[in-house]
Amino acid sequence: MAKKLLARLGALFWRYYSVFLVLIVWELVSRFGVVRPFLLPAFSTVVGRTWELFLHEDLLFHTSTTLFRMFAGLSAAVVVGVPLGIWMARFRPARDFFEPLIGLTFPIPKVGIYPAIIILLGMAHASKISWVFIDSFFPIVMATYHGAQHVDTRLIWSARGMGTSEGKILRKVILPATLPSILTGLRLGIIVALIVVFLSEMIAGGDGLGWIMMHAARLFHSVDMFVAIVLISVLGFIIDRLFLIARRQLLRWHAEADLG
Amino acid sequence: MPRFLSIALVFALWEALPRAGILPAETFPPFSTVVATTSQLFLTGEMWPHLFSSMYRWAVAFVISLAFGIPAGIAMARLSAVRNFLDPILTATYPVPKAALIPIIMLWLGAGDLSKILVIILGTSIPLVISAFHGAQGVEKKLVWSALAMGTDRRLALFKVILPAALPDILSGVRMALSVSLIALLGSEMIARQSGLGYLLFSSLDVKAYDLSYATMLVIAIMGFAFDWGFVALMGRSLVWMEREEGSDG
Amino acid sequence: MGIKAEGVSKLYETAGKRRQVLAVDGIDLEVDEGEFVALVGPSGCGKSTFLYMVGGFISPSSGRILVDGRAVTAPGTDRGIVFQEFALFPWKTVLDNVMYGLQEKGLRRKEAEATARRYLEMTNLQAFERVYPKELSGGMKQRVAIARTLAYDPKVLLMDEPFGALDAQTRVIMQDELLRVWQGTQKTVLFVTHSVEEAIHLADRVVIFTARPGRIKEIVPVDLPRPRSREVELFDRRYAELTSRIWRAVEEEVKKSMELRAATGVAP
Ligand SMILES: Nc1ncnc2c1ncn2[C@@H]1O[C@H](COP(=O)(O)OP(=O)(O)OP(=O)(O)O)[C@@H](O)[C@H]1O
Ligand SMILES: [Mg+2]
Repeated sequence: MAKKLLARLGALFWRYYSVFLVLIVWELVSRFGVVRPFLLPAFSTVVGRTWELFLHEDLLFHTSTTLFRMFAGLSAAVVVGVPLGIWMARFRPARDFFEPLIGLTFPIPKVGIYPAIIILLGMAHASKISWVFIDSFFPIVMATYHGAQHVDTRLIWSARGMGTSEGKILRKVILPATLPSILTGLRLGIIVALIVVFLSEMIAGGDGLGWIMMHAARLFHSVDMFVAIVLISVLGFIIDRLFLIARRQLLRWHAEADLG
Repeated sequence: MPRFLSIALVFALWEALPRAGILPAETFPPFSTVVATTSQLFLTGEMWPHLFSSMYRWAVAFVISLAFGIPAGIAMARLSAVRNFLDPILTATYPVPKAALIPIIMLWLGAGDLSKILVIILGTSIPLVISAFHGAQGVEKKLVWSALAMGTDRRLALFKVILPAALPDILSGVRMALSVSLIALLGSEMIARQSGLGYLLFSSLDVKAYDLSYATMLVIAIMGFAFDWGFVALMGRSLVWMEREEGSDG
Repeated sequence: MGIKAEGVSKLYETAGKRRQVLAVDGIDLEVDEGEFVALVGPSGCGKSTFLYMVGGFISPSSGRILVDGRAVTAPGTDRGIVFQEFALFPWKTVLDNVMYGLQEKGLRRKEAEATARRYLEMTNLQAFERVYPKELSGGMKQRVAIARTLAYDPKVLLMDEPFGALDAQTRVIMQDELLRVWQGTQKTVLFVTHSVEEAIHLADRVVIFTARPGRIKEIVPVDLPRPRSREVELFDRRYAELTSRIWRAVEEEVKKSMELRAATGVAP
């Protein structure tokens, strides 16, 4: 039993050896003064400081603020993007109306219009959540649209042939057949949302992990800068992993499910 | 329904809402005003240096990313040692927002062009590496075999078979890298504020020079659009041979 | 150029040696220069695998293969292959695909084009030379693959179910074209097929593989006079006997391979 566990840990280590190598080099380079600890605080120092900030300062508050904004914007993007994508794929006038609009606005770097959002909605939650929403909306709606458009018509025919009503075809055929695409778009949306929420807090600060980064940079408090980056990275990694696990569950029938 | 109805509608609303006083014109100027200010900025020459310094940083970083990212991705696909080293690092850093590194890189390298270029390279090369990796790894083995049987040198098969076969994936990575590069460019410019469009965007916001902000936004929007359009125009032709994709996810 | 296989086996190892498949086992076979040999056997018995080893794309786990007296270590232009999956270059037009081998040989574009066109005419594809493979049907792709391999004139032809995707009429035409090319150039041919009739119509000898792991079950000489006319074959008693003899042998192995699959639960 213990031996098996040890073997699995060993396999895990070898698979990710390069990641551990990077962390170890980071630690040593700083510990032995190859670079000044001010420029690169040791990994252990950063972890210790993170713990301390969680216990004695309001790091928990900032972290949850960032997560709240991210998920608020992301959920809105799903709620709007998925139905819109399917609607566009199944209903010609909707496609004719929205496709050119999306084609025009998609390539615009949204960070470039963030000032307009700030001018309109102020510096607090609303503008940040809106930016997250806008940026993660695009990959979701485009992937959904694309997926729903390519649902095999024969699937719909055979469902109809077996007596499925038109209303139920959407839920029973189109949605499941589009799910893999939706999830691909959602994964991109998650990553974009992470970038955007952090950037928005760096630009229009006040609270959140992005603000901690900028605040620490202004005070030349380098350890705290690393706390912010390590924390957002770990969060991003965990969210992505959880997403992949959930996707595997949802797509057990799908041939590519175990690829990611 | 006319095809560009929606776009016309957006511009019409942008023009009409502030004019009708439904949105305040000083914080949300009508489209025509923004166009006028923008052309004014170009005519007086105020916009050019910012546009040039942004384009300079972007171009240097993008060329370096292409030169590094695509070979690295292909090397990952062909050499297991490179794959075993890079793949876990890419998997672990894929969801990490690279733009978050801007202040740390500035701490190391100062606030000059070098830091900005490095940030753009970090963000841009990852989609390039990943797409080149997937593309080169997915090349049907028998295509290479065919070429070898017909007398192609093993090393040249990389250029004659693997590169063209991976091209569709690589190019979709380039398209993604284009959009990431703009985010990184603007992000770095607005955090280390010296020059460039990102600087103009937020320094004007700070002093409430909203007309300047909107003009810059218009320039950035046009730039993003031009990049994508230029890409499609240039690359669309070289991929006429591609199979129309059946599924939609990858 | 003769081919000689001495005790050739291939063990596929996948997923870090966790899954092993013994595809072919101890093949001894000698093919004379200019001989036409057909390989038949149940699906998944290792016919393609054997062909790939002769081509030098994969190496045997044990034993060795000699072509023209020299051990095979790598692919070479002396051996041309037509893959079961066609393996056309999707980024090249039909004409450029067929020209590829000729240009690798060092022919100038004009000459390569002229030769390629001859083979496209032979496979009745001249109207499609500017088209990309994605626009072709399966049968057309297969004909391009055949033209591409014949065009650069390799001494040995390795053909993996080369007519499998063709309709019955085209198949007959292509069989006769192949025989014409073969008789005109004295090529050595290894020809995999699932059709016993095809094997008998084309080959000097028919090699029957066992179910996986593929071994040679039996080698049947086809000593019918050439040219073999289809009309005569229909009524010829020797032909009928050969057909049923090979049929029965293959059927026996197909049944075995189905039992094997049912027992292990894996697809071939
Ligand atoms: N690269 C590989 N890795 C592992 N197993 C393989 C590989 N290629 C083939 N096999 C296995 O080896 C066996 C022989 O395969 P092969 O393709 O040579 O058969 P075949 O006789 O050509 O079949 P068919 O008539 O269906 O084309 C099969 O069981 C197959 O699953
Ligand atoms: Mg085969």
